[in-house]
Amino acid sequence: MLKRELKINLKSLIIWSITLILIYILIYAIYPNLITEESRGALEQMMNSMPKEILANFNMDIVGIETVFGWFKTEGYIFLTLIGGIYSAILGGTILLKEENDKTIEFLYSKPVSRNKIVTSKILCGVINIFIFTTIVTVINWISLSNGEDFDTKQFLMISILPILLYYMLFFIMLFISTFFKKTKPVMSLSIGIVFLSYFMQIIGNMGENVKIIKDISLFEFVSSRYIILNNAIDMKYVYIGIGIIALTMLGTYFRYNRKEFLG
Amino acid sequence: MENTIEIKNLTKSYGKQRGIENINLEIPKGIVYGFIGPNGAGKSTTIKCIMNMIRKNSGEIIINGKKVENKNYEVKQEIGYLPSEIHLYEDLTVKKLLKYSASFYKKDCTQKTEKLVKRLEIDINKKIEELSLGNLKKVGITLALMHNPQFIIMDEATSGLDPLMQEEFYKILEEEKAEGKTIFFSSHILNEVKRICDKVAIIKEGKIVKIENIESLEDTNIVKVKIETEEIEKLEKELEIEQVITKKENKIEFLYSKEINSLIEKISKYKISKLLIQEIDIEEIFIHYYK
Repeated sequence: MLKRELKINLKSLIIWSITLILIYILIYAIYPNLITEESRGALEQMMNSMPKEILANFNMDIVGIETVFGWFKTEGYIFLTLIGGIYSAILGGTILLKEENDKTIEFLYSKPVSRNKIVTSKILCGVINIFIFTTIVTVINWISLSNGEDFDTKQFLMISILPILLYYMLFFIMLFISTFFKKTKPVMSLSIGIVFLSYFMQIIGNMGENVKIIKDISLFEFVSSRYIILNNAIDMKYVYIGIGIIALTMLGTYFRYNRKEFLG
Repeated sequence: MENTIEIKNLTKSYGKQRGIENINLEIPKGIVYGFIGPNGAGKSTTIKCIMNMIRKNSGEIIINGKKVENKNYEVKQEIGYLPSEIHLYEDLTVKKLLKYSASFYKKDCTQKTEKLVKRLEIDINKKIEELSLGNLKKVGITLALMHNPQFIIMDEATSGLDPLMQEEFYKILEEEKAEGKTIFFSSHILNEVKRICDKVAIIKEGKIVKIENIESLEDTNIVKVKIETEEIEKLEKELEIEQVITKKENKIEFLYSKEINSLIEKISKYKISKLLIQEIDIEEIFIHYYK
């Protein structure tokens, strides 16, 4: 069952990985040409004219973007979390529900297979896919960035691997939410919605002290690269809470799925 | 006789929609048990409860002595299920799908699968998405029988099959029965139920209205009467006809289940131009229960 599952999801894994990799490679290729002595001055001027809150959203107040590694830590990280986040959320929202949406659950559940086993093989498939996705992107980025003067291996690895926490959180949250639905279409929209909502909550929350609470409940705050850059460490508090959320939504999924009706 | 399946006080409701109420069925081993009723009467709901696809509100389902529950999924090793609508993985070829299906069972399904594929004339190299409704049904039948299950559940099995294939399918079922398998056969086509079933349960509006042997269903005390007379209205009142089949100007056709002698006595007073009393077929018994 897992084998078949991995096979079905291979295509989307390839598409999403390639999408993100292409974005990176394209930017890495043209970036050095953009940064000249002339443009550097203009860039600095522009940065100085921007409000600090805006810059903070891109980490640009603490990281220079004259190098590609600098760009990776600022705008590049947003691509990493957003695109990987959408991929993971959609995967979680559809991997289990697709059987009911396509009514193939009637085939699958006529076999001597428990509902728990169905959930487990879907979860394993999702976990493996997201892991492969993260690995591919990390390896490609390493190859592209490691020649840079300012490349910092430890920092790079933390920034590249931490998003997997966000991915898994989104995967399991959407997996749980999908057990309340019968069709994949609304869940797909919801997946994308939750990723963007969460992202904008972080941005808005950065705007000032009085709206900071919004930021604190954004899933993106769990994997803030800012903390890594400032402290050269991962904020373990968020990792523990994240794992807690994953465990809860995973248990919730098993619980709900065992009570679900397969109407067909 | 040993029962393959026992359903006790099974109830399932879907909120406002009607479900099924207090279904009691005992299906003895080795027979073909018909389950008939019009669309929406609760046949598929009952079957989905047996398959544990939906959660019953109350009652019990026992297959081969084991209760059907989430954790008792192993009972399905010995169940073959053909759903009324077949939905399969469209990306797979028939060959791969059959192989995938076989991977769930503890036994070797190759021989039986090959035999079925040959008899039903299935092209195993085609993709599922390319199959017509009839061919999809044939794959469904193969999936239900490939693991040689002791208990076969078929929901509207023949819809979409051409007449020649239907014949072949009936033959296959007869052979399965000869091997001692138990078959639960849901249908709304009475002729096929009459042809292949030993016993039949009739379901109407979510309740079992009658359980009969096929023979006794056929010789129940109902006749069909056709009369041509000018005094239809008067006649209808005097005979207290409840189940009119057709009524046109001077012709009336109805089902009659009371004493025949009294019928003849009563109509003898009328001026009748034509009279026909005949045995009714299973189609009309059906109407009798559903009107």
